[in-house]
Amino acid sequence: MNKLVTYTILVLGTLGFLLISGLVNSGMKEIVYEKNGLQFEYLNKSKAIRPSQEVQFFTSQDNNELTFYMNEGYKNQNFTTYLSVYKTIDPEENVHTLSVKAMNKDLSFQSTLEDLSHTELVNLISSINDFRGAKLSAYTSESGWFGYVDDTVVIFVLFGLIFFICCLIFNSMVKILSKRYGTRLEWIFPGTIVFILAFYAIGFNFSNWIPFSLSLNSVISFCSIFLPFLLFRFVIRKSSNLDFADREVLKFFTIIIGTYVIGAVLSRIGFAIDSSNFDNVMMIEKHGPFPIIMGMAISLASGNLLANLVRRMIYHRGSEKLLKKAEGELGRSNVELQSLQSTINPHFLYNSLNSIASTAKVDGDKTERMALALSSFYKYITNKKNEGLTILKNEVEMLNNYLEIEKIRFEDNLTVEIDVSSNAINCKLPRLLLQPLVENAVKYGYGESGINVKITAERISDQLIIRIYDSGAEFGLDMQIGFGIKSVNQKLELLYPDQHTLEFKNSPAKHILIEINQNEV
Amino acid sequence: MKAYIVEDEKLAGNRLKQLILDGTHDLEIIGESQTGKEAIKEINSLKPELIFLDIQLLDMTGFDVLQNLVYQPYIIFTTAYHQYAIDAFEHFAVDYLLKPIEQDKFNKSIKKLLKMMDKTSMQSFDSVNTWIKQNVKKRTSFSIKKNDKITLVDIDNVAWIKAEDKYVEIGEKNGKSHLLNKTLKLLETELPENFVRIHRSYIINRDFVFEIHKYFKGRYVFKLNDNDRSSITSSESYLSEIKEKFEL
Repeated sequence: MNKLVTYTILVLGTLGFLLISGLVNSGMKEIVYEKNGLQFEYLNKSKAIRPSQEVQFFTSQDNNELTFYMNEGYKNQNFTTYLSVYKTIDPEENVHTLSVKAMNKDLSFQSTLEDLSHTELVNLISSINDFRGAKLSAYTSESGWFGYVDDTVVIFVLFGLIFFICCLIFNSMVKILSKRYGTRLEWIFPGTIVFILAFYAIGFNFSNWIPFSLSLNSVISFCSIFLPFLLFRFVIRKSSNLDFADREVLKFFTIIIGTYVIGAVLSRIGFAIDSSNFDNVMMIEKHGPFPIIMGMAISLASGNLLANLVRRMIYHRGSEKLLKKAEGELGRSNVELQSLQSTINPHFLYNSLNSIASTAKVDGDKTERMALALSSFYKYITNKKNEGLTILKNEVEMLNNYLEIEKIRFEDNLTVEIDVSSNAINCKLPRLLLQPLVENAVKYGYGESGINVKITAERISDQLIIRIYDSGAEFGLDMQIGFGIKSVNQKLELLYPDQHTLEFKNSPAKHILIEINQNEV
Repeated sequence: MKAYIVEDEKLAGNRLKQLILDGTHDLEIIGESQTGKEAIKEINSLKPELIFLDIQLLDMTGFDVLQNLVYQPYIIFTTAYHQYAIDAFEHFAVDYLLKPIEQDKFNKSIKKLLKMMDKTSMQSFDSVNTWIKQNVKKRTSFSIKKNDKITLVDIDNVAWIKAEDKYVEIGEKNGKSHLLNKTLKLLETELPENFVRIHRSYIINRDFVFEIHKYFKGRYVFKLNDNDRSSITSSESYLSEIKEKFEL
């Protein structure tokens, strides 16, 4: 139930962020002029990000002229852009011509609006809109709430949705692929997104979607996305032990904050190097591609988060009912698990005691080692306070005790290799899951060069993948499960119904494969 | 008397030698091996009268070794194994020694052997093997092969088995089903007690039956509580077997 609340908050938060990401980019609106039932409005795109920007407009005394100018204060420089609208009338042909000019510095000029009709005003506005650096829109008072919603909101919400769908497809694909081909494929999805983002950011600057042109801005765009991406990868790797909700929140903020910090710093550096880049040519005003990058990052983070949530819900088949059922089963399964655990194969104990009896009179050291390993091993087994799950580290320690005994029993005949990757060491798994399988491997692992057992464990995204190799004869279709494997199977069924793998493979080498989803339980 | 030791652990073999020494028995150990393959070769050439035989060897079982011997020596099984397996040894072997082996028990076992040697009344190995097959090697799971991997279906999770032409289909309790390249007839002999044949093409797991409805002409409808709530109708020809197993 607790988890359900977390997920609901996550979903609502994500939706909120999607909306905010649009609003941030749409900026604030100021009505600057009203005429003929039309309102002139300056959409200050960057106001939310840079509060130092000012917009002023003046009308002349006889109300015939309209002058806009924006004053943008970067620290030491002052840029002033004048947008001027004027109308010329050819007296002979009685033709009205509307002109808009933008000028830097103090080349201000004036224009009369006196005789403009409604249509002319609308035309005027659209021609002003063609100018970069400012945006004018006109709407009548009836246009309602949507009049205030800038198209950037729509664009970024749309991008959020696109990223969401992409993430949904790609993340699922990556999961399937990485399961089969290993971790390398994890890069594909984020890599593709970075490429698309960078492409978009670069292309956008040059408006006609020219893909690559190594200007300062394209470098800034690319780095502002690529560096946070590296950070993101790093966080994913480091956060493999967190549970689902924590991990997703961490990813979300890594993308946003990472992009914000790196993007801002790079834009600043870019500006210092070549400020002209940031002025007249830029569609995105005086901030380089920064706002676009930010918007994209927020859309990506939100889309990714939503996609993972939905994937998880599909995974869980979404219903609370199922959750409750699982909780009920968990309670029941703990009881069953305890009974499963208390009944570990007693023959191992008898065989070991027989070996101890054998070494007792001839080899005191060996006897001591064996007795101590045996006692550690049984201490672990009979540990009642521990519940159903443990971490891999503990299991491996236990396996080492167990194998110490087996090595004494089988001497040179048994060689063991354990290879656990560092990202798997804290993964959760049922207690005493591996011992019966390793015992099995030792029991049936005799080949031409003795018994060779190898245990590997790694974590690939949400999956803990354990392989237990032995050198014995291949698995045949006539094999039957014994007590040990039966208990392993039951533990997995109880704790991870339909979310685990237990397979017996003969290629590329004979091994038992176990996969456990780390999001479960 | 010449004796031979087959033990997969050297330490366990040492233990036996020690017991022979301490018990001052008139036994001469003429050989020792850790694998079944080596044991068969050496035993057949050395022809010892007595073999100490471990059940679980590295490469095969002790029973497999017995099957490959060209003559019939006395056997003392050494094992740490299941009660029902022990029953088998009581029937057919000279004796069995449970690990960890105690000196007293070992001495008794040798005494028993010496007594037996007068009577020479041991059962043949063939009957041992038949017994093992019938009582020990009951099916516990089904191996399902898909591409290069094998998954095991615990027999306790199987609700029904259905004949499908040359195959059988087994239905798990979670609703999954698998095809096996076997005949129902062959399979029937390998199944544990709780599986009941109720139809020419159906075997069901008694543990999953939660309702039985009487149908006409001596037939019954069995409702199973697997995920699909399977409902299977029996045929008349299995009536007596059904009545017996379900106490109807």
